[in-house]
Amino acid sequence: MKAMHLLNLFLSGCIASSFLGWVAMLSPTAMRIVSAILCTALVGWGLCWLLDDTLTSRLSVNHLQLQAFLIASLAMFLVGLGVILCS
Amino acid sequence: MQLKLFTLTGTALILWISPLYALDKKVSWHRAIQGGCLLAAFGCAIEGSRLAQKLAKEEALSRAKEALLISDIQDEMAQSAYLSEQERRLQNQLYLESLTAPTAPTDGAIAPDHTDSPHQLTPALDKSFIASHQVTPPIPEGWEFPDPKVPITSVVRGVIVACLRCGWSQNKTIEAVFGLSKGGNNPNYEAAKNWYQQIKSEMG
Repeated sequence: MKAMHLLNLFLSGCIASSFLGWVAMLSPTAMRIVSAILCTALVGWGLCWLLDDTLTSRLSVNHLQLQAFLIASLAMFLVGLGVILCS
Repeated sequence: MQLKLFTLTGTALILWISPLYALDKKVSWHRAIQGGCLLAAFGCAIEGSRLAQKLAKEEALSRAKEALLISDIQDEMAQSAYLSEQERRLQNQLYLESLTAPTAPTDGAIAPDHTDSPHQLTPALDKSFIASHQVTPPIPEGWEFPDPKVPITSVVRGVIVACLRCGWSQNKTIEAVFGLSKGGNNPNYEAAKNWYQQIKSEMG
């Protein structure tokens, strides 16, 4: 059941990423907005790797959990974007 | 619940993948359907994750309850094994004491036979076992004698049961619980005696 919970969370992340890609395809303005959001998210994701010590103490998680979360979020984003681009 | 979970997950997958591949992005209402399906798929996935989390918590709770039950049973078994071990030691000790106790024969009397059966030790053993296990007196401190003419409470009933388990006689129990001694035609004593006999018959 725990695995199903994580799978559904991963799936929802992929769908959210696909939705963002779909929104970007609506118009050039939407494309720019979504690109800005994605760039900000990417910078934030990179900062999370650099500031992992602070984050682990603030969020009361260990390093492994934080790294797993960051890798899973990248995978979610790539899968979602890949589906929308390949369709 | 599990069927609902799998249905939600499957629905999320289907609503995510199939509109993007089946419909055309250039047609406006196709695009609207794609957007709606993506939102619906997102909702299904979130609901599925909530349901899976709830089921996982229930599973963990039932496993914890099972572990608690098993540990309780193991604790009880260990306790009964310990008590039976103590009883066996006591039996052995008493038997050895009976064998080694000095017995001086009287004039013209024959010395007692030391090959006594262990079964003859059972009454003494029972008394010593009961005495060693009787920790609390049946009558609590500050006990107030109840009126035997009114229906007795569960507390009084429990005290009478405790006295019966200690092996107290009828007169001793009535005197201790109700504060009445046998003598003459005392209606209170008769009422107390009825309560005692009723509870004794209920215990079997």
